[in-house]
Amino acid sequence: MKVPDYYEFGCRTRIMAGHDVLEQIPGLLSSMAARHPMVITDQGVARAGLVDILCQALDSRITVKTIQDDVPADSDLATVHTLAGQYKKYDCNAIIALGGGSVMDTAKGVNILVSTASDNLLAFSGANALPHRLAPLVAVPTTAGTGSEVTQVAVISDPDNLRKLLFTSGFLMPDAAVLDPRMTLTLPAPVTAATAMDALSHAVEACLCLGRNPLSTAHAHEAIALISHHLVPVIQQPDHTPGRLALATGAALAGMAFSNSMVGMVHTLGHAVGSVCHAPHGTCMAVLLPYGMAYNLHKTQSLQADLLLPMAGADVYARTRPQDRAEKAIDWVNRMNRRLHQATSGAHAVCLRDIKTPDGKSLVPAHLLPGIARTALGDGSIFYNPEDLDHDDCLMVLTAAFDGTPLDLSRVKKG
Amino acid sequence: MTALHHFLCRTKTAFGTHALAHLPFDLSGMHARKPFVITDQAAKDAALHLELARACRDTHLPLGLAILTDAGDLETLYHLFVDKGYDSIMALGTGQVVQTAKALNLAICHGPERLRTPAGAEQLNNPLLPLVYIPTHPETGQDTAGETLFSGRRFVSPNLMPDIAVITADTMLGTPGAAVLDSGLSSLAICCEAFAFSHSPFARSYASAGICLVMDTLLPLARQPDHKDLLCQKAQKNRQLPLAKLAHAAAISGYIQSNYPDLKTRQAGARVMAVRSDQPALLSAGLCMVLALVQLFENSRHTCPWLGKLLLPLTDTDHYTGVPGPEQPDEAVRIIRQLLHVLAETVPRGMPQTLEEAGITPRQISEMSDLLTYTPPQGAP
Repeated sequence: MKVPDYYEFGCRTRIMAGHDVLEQIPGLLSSMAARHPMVITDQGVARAGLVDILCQALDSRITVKTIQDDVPADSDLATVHTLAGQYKKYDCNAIIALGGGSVMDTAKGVNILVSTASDNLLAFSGANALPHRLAPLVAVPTTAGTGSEVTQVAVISDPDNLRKLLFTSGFLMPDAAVLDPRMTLTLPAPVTAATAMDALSHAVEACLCLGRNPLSTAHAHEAIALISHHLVPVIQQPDHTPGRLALATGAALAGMAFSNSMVGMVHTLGHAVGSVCHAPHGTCMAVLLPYGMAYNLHKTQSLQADLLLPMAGADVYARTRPQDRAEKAIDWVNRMNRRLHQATSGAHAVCLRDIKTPDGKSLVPAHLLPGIARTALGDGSIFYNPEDLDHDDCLMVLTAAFDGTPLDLSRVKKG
Repeated sequence: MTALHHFLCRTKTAFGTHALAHLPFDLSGMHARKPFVITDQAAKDAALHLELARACRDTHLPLGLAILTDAGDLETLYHLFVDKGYDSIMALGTGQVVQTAKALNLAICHGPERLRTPAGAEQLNNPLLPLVYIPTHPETGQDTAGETLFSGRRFVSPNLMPDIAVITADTMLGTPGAAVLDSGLSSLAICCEAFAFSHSPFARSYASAGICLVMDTLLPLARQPDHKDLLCQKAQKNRQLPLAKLAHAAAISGYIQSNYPDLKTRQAGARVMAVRSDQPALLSAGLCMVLALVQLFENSRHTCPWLGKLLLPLTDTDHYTGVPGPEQPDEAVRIIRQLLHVLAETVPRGMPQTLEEAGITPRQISEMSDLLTYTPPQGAP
């Protein structure tokens, strides 16, 4: 067992997972003497009826003071300040964040303001700037992908200054992550596919990138096994609650893994595609994952070979020659993308060219690829990638991913 | 994946070379500005407190220092802490040091009166002060578990888990072979039981890493001469990294114990020790737990959901996938037995490899059958 010279692993969020586990929130909040929560969510979640399910699960011990469902797709400063004002107005003493990554980030931002009695969120940006514990925060994810229910990070947009503010502190971790399969039952198949592949990319990069460690790898392998085993069956049978629970659990495990090991070029490039083209994050991750694995193959051959076991199972692993296992793992991800493409009637893209708006307009035009490559160089995750990347390398990978053609491994630098 | 499961590990693990150097950053993240260090004479004699001071020097953190001599020190420590205005606790040492640090934390945050009555999580809801734990030996997991024993009274709460466990070869002191064996076997039993029976993938992830760490280090450590015989400084240094890994496994076993306080191997091990209290030198708690674990697996191989998969962390990917699925449970048990066998041949005075060899009669085994058999929860697949 290889152990790095130094590593850290921690996640102080209580995991509560299972069918009907929402009903345990009252006991949890009561134990924290927090009986007056504010619910933060978005309109999509509200329209899907998930707020109603949550409220029905809360018993007489809990009085929801206000439900705020105006969180935008990209969390911003104005929303955080508005919601913090509502929290104070309704005299709340806890937050339930019900939604995906943007809702979680917004809730973390609101929690900073209300717990520090400050009206200047900027004062707490960066690492470890929070002075003390925050108000109780319960995270109820409604997608199985981002893992932000178990991370100590929040990203809030500052549109006036065209920047994204990063907040990192152990105090930002939610007190509990409540994983209830009812919360993802209504997710459309393409969103289920994309978010699960996002979680898979977290787990795979957690195993390959420079910050990997024995605990992050153990969590990542569990995540990969759960997602690999359950994703396609859930797409085929969306109301399969055990499968939904497995995906939610896999996403949380992957979140714990990558937040303790960091991610690499799949996220470097994916963030850039999302930022320049506003393409959905999970879809970008799904498309770019096999390319990131191939690019790093020469540096991580044995680690990628190990991935084949949780991905494809013991029989496939044992049948595959040791020297072929890493490439087989990459093939497996490609095959998973194609299966999802088929299972979603083509909605799940397998190359960047095919990422489209609902009305069929291409979101990632070829002429933007050089600009995406330039943007990628500014992403922090690039430092954790096993192999170095420059502009030409990024462009080479993006071009192959655009067309869905295999990466020419002879052109990959071997640093 | 259908059963309800909870998992909480409040502790961040920082492992590796020069891990102490990262401590000031972590302390600042918790806004701990005036830590109070509790340590013991052995750590002080090895000048470990100076290592700690060196790590904090550049940040000008004022460190208070108290050398623990006996449990009666708590009152003195309490007054010192309050009078000097400390805001956090660092336990540099194992056993009594960390248990005292937890008790002090309770006394500060809940009042000294709280220590007069045993209490559980429902009474100990409030957050405690930041607690950093820096072990100097591999322990048995009670150090990182959310519990403490003080003057014979037991206090249980996840809040009692340290905020950070800093585990580094730099602070490992010489550890007698018997203590190494006890720690390794105890961690192995706890992690294997949690892995094999838990429905929580979170518990299995931690357990898997803990098992790998024990399997990597226990036998090589047991094969080395006892620390007293390691006159060569280089040989002592070489022993420190595996000791730190074993301490890491022990910390993980503590995280698991916090989530599964009713582990059968722990209870059965205690029962075996009580039965054979005439043989304290022969039977350590860790050994009793592993002997109980093997019996538990033998009795439950058809109901144990993850026994076959346990083979993976016990061995490696090739070994695991080379064994046909139906044979994996037997092979997992065989690997544990084999480890016990090799250890028995390695340790100077030998050791029993079954409960019977430990002097437990069939009748006594039968009397503890509830602890040696797994019954799946209702509705489990």
